[in-house]
Amino acid sequence: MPRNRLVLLISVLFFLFMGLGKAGAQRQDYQLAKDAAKSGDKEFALMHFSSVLKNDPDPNHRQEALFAVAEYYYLAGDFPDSLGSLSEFLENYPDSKLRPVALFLLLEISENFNNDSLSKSVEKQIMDLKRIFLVFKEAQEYSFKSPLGLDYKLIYYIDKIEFFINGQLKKQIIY
Amino acid sequence: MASLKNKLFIKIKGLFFICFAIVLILIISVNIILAYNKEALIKKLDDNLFRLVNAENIFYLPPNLIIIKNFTVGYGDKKILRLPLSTAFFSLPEFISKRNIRIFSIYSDRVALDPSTLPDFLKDDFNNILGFLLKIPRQDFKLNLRQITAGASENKSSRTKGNFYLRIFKDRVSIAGKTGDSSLVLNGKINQNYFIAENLEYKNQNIDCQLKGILKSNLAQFQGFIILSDPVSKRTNQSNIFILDIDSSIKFNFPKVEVERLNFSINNNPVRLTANISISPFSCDLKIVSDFRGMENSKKSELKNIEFSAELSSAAENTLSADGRLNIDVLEHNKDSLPIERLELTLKNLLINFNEFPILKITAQTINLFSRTNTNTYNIDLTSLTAKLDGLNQPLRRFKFTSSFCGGLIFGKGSLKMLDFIPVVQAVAGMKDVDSNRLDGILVHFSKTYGKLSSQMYLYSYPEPVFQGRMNIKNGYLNNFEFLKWLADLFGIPSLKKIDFNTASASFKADKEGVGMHDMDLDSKDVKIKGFFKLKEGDFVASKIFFSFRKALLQKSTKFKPLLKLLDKNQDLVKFNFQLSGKLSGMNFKWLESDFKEDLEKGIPNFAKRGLEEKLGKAIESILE
Repeated sequence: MPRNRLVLLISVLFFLFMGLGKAGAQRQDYQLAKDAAKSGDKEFALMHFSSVLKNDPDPNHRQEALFAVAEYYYLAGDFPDSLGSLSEFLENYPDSKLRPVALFLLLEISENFNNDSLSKSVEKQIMDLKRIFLVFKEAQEYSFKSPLGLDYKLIYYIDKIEFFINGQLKKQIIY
Repeated sequence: MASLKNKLFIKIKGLFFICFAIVLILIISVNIILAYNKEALIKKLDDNLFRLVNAENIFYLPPNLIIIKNFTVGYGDKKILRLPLSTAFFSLPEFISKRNIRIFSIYSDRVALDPSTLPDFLKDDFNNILGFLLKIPRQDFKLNLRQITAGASENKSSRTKGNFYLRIFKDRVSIAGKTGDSSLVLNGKINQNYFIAENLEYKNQNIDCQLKGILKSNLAQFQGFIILSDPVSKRTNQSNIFILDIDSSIKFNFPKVEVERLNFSINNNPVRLTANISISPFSCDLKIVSDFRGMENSKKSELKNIEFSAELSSAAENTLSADGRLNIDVLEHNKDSLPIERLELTLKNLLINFNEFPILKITAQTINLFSRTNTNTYNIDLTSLTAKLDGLNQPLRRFKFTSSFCGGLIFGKGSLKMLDFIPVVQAVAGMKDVDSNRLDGILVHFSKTYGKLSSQMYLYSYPEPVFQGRMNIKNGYLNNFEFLKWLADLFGIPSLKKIDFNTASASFKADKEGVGMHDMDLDSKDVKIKGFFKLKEGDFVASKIFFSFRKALLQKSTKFKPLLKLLDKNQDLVKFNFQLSGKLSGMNFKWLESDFKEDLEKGIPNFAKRGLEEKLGKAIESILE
């Protein structure tokens, strides 16, 4: 009987350590991805973010990882893969603060594909995103740091929206 | 020998003379008999048609020829058919053996037709005529009519002449006709109770029609196609109208005609038509339904459900009365189209007078035009409309109209022509002393604008539709305009809720780029408003509005007084300029630069600005909702 208890205890401890080990590995993937992005090693960051998408159930990590994957493909010029990841991101995380950035990236990709109907639809979604009231200010600015370490900035004027990546104007939408 | 020859010659001459005399007597006798029995002979045509048919004289010429002079069909002076001289051949063997005059060929020249009498003719005698035609013994027969003229025109030389040929051989019927560039061919089979049209072709430079079907005494069923080409521009197939897949079932019980089914496609747009028609007096209940994409036969055109129903009837002489309704539901939109989802046109007591044709005189008790876009509804009511349409027989038609409209008048004139089957309209119109608040059916903001409105408007439908003009409102007032109401409440100046003005004016324009008002100008004692407002494709707004308030007015406000202290003392007007943009349903707002704003900014510390920005933002959001 004590022998059986010992076997049971060993089994429970085994599975417990396995689980903890896995959770630890997931946390490690996310941290490794962040570290790689911070050090500018985008390929490693992609590898670890892909692991997060496979293994990590945390929705915040998954959201960040999905955006990072889309962003990586966008920067690498792999627009078809970026389009797929961005579409998934926009569908799964409609309230994300990165949504406007994702839409601007999608707009640039759709223009690259000469897909007029998608461009129109995305432009409309961007213009519908935010309503602004400028009493004393000239414009409203929003800045985002991306998972891969890029600086995004959106400036909402009364009649246009400007989109910057790392301080460089990438796109302008005029109402 | 010579005297013998002479005697023989005299005997032959005598015999010949006797024979000639007998034949002459016979001919004269036959002709006298024919003259006396003319009416009985005609009656033999058909008892029911006897009263319609007449002939001045009938002569016989040997061996088998009958000459008929002035043969007519019709009532009194209203003759639908006149045959001045006709020759008919009858079968001599059949006459000798059976004493039966069987005519197997008729030839007639200078035939005159008057189609204007056709409605009366069909009304009273269609069944008799059809019955007569179906009762004609099926025997070989030829009818050859030459130099046919149609119409009752005074200028006979200007009429087009045509020929008509009919041949019946056993149960086969062949018809061929030609007039000017028009030709008609009909081949079919006749039976005791019906006629089968195996091939009916009618062609001229503008029409190519091919039908087949069956005609019974009370039913016609036809299938086929018609291709219409534009007489003005015959450049390509694009300008053709293709009426294909015709499938019809029409019941006759004259004077009633019931179109049970008339289905066809017009340039690939399916159309279903039903009608109940009375020929005389004329009336028609008509219903047309179509899933219409456009005459250009292009998939890019938007799909519309069109439903037209009308009750038409003849009112006074040469006047058509109509009550009708046209509904158009636009199911799809393309980027160049106006964003209309539904259009309804209702006509009540419309009278069209043809007395001065080609001039039409039109009156209507009421015309209502309702339209719905994805954001608004629009309603226009015209009452006591009178209009004149001139030049129906010419490519360019001109029109004039005047109507009561919202307590005032609307009037105008213009021209209409068809270009590749698309109507091209140019019109200039005006409004006078219209109650501006009653124009809220066109633009909801008018509900808060009072005064007598006058306007000049221009409409062009080609090459792009454009509607533009300028309007003036005199001696009116703005009542509870949202922005002014908000200012009145915010600063405690109740007089801002109602602003009297002497004149307010604005230009407007609607085209495929959008609709908008520009050069807006309102001048009142205490408030001045200028600016523009444009609604572009996708309901995007572009607008700048400039308000100027007299300082004396704002000084009445205890809340505003402290702010006025920040201003330059010499300023008489306090300017409040703002810009709107973005979606109509969620417009962005910007307070534009002005002296007032500048002075205010100088006088307010930065931390207070942030609070004020937030507060004003929320307040403005509530106004723009």
